[in-house]
Amino acid sequence: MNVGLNHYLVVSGLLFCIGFLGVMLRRNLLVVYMCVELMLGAANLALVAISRFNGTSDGQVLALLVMCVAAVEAAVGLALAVAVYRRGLTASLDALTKMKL
Amino acid sequence: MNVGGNIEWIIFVFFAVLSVVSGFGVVVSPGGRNPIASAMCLVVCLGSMAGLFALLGAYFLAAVQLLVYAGAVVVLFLFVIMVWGNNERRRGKTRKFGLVVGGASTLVMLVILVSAMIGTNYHPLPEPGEGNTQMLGKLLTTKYVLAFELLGILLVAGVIGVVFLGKKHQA
Repeated sequence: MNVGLNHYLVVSGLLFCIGFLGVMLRRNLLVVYMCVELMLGAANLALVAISRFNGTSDGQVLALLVMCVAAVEAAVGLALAVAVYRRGLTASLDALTKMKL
Repeated sequence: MNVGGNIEWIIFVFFAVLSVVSGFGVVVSPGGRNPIASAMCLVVCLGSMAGLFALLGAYFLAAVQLLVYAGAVVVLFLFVIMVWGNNERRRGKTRKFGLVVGGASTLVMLVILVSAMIGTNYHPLPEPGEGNTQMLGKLLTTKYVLAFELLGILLVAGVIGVVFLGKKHQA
């Protein structure tokens, strides 16, 4: 028996839930960004697996687009984090509830 | 059970376990809640995800995953952490409420996702799709050309936004 689609999807679901747990639990801004990246990667894994077992390449194109959007998101998010640090604020999300820098 | 299937299983289990364990490492960041440990675990996790991509025949995506994530995004994370973010030594306290609610919602989500994925009757493995780079490039410049162009606009907008945010004195 070969590795099936279910196995890849379960791994992807596990990774997504781990990333979600990190977003819910961690209070550090940068770690939350990393967990968001993890969730996006898990979605990519599901897309690639489904595209492979479907016999088309469309899912891979979508995964490529998601990857680029994730890179842009990381760049903009880290620039925001740097702006937060420049104002002398801490990286803890509990201290950033006012939504004004 | 053929030998090729066995090897495929071994590689799959290796990368799957590695990615899940290092994913947990991103969340708990071993060694005293240091964000750098999280970033290192993220490299391992995304790298093993690239291994799974390669196992799925998406070699180009595996290379892009390694280059973009391990080569660019995580390095960016490390720069920000090392220059600005590593100054709080105190252990961030996890509130009990957040722990309970986050754990419960994650558990519910896990049950829903995994039960949906296991319970569905998927068709058995058809012929492996041609996951080659040529096909990807053709699709990207014919069927998905609009998304491709919009992605370029998004990248330019992101660059402009980052430059604006990174300026010393803002308006």
